[in-house]
Amino acid sequence: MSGLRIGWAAPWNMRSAIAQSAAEVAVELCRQGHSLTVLRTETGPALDLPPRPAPGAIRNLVDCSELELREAFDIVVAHIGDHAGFHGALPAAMQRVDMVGVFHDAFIANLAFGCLDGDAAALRAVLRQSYGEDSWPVGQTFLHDTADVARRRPMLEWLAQRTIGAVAHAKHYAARLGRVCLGPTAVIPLAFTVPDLPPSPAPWNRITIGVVGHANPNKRIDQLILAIGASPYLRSCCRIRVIGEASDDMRARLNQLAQTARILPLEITGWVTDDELRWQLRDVDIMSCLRNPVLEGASASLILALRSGRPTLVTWHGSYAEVPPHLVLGCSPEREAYDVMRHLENFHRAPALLLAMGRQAQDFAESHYSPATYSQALVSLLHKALSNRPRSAAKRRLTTTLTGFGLALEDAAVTRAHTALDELLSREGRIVS
Amino acid sequence: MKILVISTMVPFVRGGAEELFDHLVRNLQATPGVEAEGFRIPFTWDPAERLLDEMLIARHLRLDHIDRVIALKFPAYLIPWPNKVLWLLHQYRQAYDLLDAGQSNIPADIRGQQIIAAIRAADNVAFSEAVRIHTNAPITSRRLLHYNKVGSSVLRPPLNDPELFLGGDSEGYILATGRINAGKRQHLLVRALRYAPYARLVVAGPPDTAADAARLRQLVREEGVESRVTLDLRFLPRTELAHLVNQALAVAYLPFDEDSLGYCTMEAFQAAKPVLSVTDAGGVLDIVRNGETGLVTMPDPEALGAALATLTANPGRAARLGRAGRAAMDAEALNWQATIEKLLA
Repeated sequence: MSGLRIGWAAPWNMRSAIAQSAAEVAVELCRQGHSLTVLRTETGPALDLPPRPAPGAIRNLVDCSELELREAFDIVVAHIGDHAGFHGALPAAMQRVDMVGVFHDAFIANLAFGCLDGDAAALRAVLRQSYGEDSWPVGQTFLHDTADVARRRPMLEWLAQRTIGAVAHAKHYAARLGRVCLGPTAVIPLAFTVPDLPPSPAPWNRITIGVVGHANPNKRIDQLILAIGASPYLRSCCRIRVIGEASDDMRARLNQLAQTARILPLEITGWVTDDELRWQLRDVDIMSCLRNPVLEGASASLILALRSGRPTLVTWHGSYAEVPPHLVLGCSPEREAYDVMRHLENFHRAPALLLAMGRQAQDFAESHYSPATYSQALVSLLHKALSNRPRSAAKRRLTTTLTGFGLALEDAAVTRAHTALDELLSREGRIVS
Repeated sequence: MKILVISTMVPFVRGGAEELFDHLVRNLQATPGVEAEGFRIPFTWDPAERLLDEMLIARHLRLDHIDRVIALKFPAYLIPWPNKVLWLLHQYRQAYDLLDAGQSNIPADIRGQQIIAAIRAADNVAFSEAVRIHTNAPITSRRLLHYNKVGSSVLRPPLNDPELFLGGDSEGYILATGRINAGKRQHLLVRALRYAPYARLVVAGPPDTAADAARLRQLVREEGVESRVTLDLRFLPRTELAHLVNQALAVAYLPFDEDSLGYCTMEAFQAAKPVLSVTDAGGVLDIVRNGETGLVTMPDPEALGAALATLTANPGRAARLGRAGRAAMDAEALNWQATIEKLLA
């Protein structure tokens, strides 16, 4: 199999977790004999962030013409995430050039809102096609309530419909991609490595719970606080460390809650480098990957937690429920606090059992989330997408016509047209006697 | 100049639109400097769900080596071409006025609403692409303006073979021509005969379906009027049809809300025969005026029976009305040469 010329459209800075994962796979693809050019997808100030090291040339996607993209590459892979600054160049380019989409997030409403400049008419036109007229009630702001937006207008289909192949990082949104993507789809577990993580600390009289990433409401830090505050065993010995940024409002709200629950004040580090992250993790006993709602396809934070060898709290849904259940500390969605309290008290009583679980999870993560495994599966999908390209193009034309009539992407007429095409092409080359 | 005329066809169903298509192509071919061909795509409207497929297929047909397209009917006019003139005979009326009249085959549910919206959206695209839009009748133009906010000019189709309809002495029968189906309401005429005991009726035309023919035959038996009704249910050659018109006392034509004058009307007037029609016949009433060029009654058997009786009892009056009809046709000055000039402008 000869090497592919791949356009690797992704954010390429030190702040984006998607960039980190994409970089690891890029190295592996080059090692396998493919040539790769990084096409930076950032726009605005994010494009001024220093680039990561790359195994090939680095260009800005916004500077590449349609002709260049078509001629310079056998295929372009688009890394899609919910950050308009990091991925803002993608939507326009995906309208002009066929791309395979790697959907790091199952929810890209912020990207859509940013790229469409909050233009209500343009947003409504997209919504009409994918989610129906009532998915955005009149009088409501577009990003009104994250859980509601995730349920009614997650915008995944907005870009998925333009792709000639699609990757999901977990099963929970793969079917949705399959319904609208014009070509093959695959579930490939996210590749993510963080070398040299500090080992779990030996148990002592204090339990530190680490939360990695931006302190958004969906990280359920309030549930951690309530769990600790509700237990007389935990209240005096547990502390929460948020290794990431928090807005002033969020910081004030969490500290107020901690005070009310009479637990130790939270530690919030602000944005950290990889080295600082390792330092902050050194005395963390338990990782928290609570999420509600689940917005991401798969979670780099979860992989980090598993790779760190520490017992990990997860809300048992989305990609978090796709990890073997004996490797994580599952908590029921919407009532996480109760389960968190139970798990922490168990750790407080008998840490050895849960530390053993963490070590098992570490072994699982090292093989399951490796760049080598990822790139092999991705290349297989890219070849399928390439051979399927004429069919994808025909499907795109049919879909465009029908949606131009105002029909939804998943309308029965669209499905019928695609099925007719599939049936026709499945007989391709058959000799009729 | 290479002209392609595009329309639809329902296999083995033939009526005025099909006649118009053939004659348009023929007259274009006879025009100096013009090469013309006709192309019709098969069309079925049932089930309504599949209308979307028909639209999709039309939209994806590709044309080449043509200077101008003249498109006549839905969904053929969706076929893309930059230099496209519409001579609109039919939108899909069940998504428009027939829907409002409760006569649509599109289900009255959410899916139906989606189908209707899709038809209208596709129509609007096609109308916006056209370099010019003519319609076959004022009512078609009014409908287009009302539902699609699109302006148009009226270009009435001329009679295709006026030389055949020379008129002649009446043999005393009322003739109902045109396609046989429930919408053309030949059954009302059969029922009307009980109120016109001396009237004789000849129904001559192709049934849309075998069921349409069977229903009409059954009705004639049920009404006990076999001795006064002749059913010639087939597609008649033009000379045979003209012969029947030329010898009729009057022609009855009762479509529901017809768009155009109707070939039945034009043939009758060309032969100086009066036309019996009804108050909801639509475009037919642009030229059939009660007591002037024919009789117009309510669409019920009793009123129609009275009109049949009047015409049968007063052949002299019928002849006067017929002559006035011929004068009204002449005043319209409809001919193929002028029509072609407008379509090629």
